Amino acid sequence: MSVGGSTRIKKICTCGKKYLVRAELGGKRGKCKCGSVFTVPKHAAKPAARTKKCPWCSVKIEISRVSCQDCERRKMRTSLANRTLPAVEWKIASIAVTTAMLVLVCAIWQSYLNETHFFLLYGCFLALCFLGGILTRVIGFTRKLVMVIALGFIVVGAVRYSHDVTLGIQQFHGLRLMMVFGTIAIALAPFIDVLLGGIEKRSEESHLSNCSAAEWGNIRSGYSGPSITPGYGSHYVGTSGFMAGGCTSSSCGGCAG
Amino acid sequence: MELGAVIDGVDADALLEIPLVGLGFREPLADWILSMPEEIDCLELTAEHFFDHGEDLLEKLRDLYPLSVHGLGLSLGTPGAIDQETLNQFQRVADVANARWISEHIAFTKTEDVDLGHLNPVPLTRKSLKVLVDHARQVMDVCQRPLILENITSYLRLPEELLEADFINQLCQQAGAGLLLDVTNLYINSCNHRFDALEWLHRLEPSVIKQLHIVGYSYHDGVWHDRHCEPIQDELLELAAQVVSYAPVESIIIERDGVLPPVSELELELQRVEDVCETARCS
Repeated sequence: MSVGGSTRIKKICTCGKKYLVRAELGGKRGKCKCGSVFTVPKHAAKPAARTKKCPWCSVKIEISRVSCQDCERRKMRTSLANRTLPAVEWKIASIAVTTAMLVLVCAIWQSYLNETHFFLLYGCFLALCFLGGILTRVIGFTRKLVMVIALGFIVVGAVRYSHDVTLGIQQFHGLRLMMVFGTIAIALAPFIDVLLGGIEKRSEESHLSNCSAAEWGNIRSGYSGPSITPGYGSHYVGTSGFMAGGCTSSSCGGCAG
Repeated sequence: MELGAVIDGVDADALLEIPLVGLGFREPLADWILSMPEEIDCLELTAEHFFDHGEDLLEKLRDLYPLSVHGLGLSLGTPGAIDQETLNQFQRVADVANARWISEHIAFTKTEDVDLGHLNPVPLTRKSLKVLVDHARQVMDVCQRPLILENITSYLRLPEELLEADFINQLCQQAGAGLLLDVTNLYINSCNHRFDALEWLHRLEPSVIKQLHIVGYSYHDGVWHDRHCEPIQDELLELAAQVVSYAPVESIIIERDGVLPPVSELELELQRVEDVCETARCS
């Protein structure tokens, strides 16, 4: 008899009893302990999942696969043998180029760059666009744009500061802020897959909108050690005032004991 | 006499009865749960979440899954009368959900004047036993549904006249209730108070165990906690398998709270638990 759920059909009787039936018995009639007669479905239960996460986008994949199909396709596109970009890739690439051009124009306008600076900057942007193209294929759809924009401002900022060009920055605080946040974005780049992957998965797959870390942090701030963090510590959000302060999230469905 | 389940013309071995595997319902998971994923066989609703609202949702869920209703605030261990308003609300939720059974904790959460906000262990004495038995009977009388009672984690060792397993046996027998065995709570208590969980289990009357709760434990600063935030560890699954192998467990509920994992992880956990049950019942 095999075990592990891979070759069995699941059948739940109306009385609530659950049976696993060998797959070859699909279609036969059975009788529950409660006396109800049922027909065993012909289709086998879903094979037991042996899965892991795709290292690129965190989607669930079979354990034997290296990455998910989407990521594999993206990586395939990086090869010279297959350079045909689908519409969505063209769209991203055009946005990347436009962004780069906007940043370039903005920088020239502000800084009155001389010719050397201009070509240096232009070279940087070419590199940037190339990198953006790679990122388009290697990492996910949405996060690529964040990276391209962030890199754009980093490059502009680096060139300007290296040539002591501060004119314009004083007038354009927004640009300066973007440079700062761009730096932060770059610093977060190694984790962006986790951050965005989690957010996307929650919003797209399940609409999970949990308490934020800060909200739970607030709840737990009342803890003062094991005597107040008993096993039932985190689960009371109820009408009777369980849990000091309660969960402050409007989206939290609360917890159970 | 209960007849065994059979399939026409085939050996009894062909039909394997295993517990339903389900989740504690949490509102952020509602969309996923309403899509009826194959992994979920049943649901457990927390009564207090539906005291003031959610009747429509309850009705939807009732039509899709076998439901049970789990209480947090009846405070069965508090001497004196049960708060009537809370009990009435609890009963309303159980009725709307058409709960297969209802459950509460072997604990107290309030005194006459103060809502303590936590599940607190009752002293394992005959006096406490009587209080719990009376309250359990009252809840079953009002709700007209079977009641199962859950063991809790405790960081305190209170003076005791009875061993915990004996206390539970007597409670279930005298009240006519079942046991909701929280495998994680048992494991945590056994670690924090250094006793053998299996020995504890074997002292328990198997026939009273109707449902299991399971969720991963947390470990911090030398103390085990039940924060409902971790994936189920292997040792907990082994303990659950032990119970399922000999007790008439009808369902297993995974309790996740706090920062809920992606549904793909929950699906995997449900599948793992089902596999464990199948293996345990096969053996």
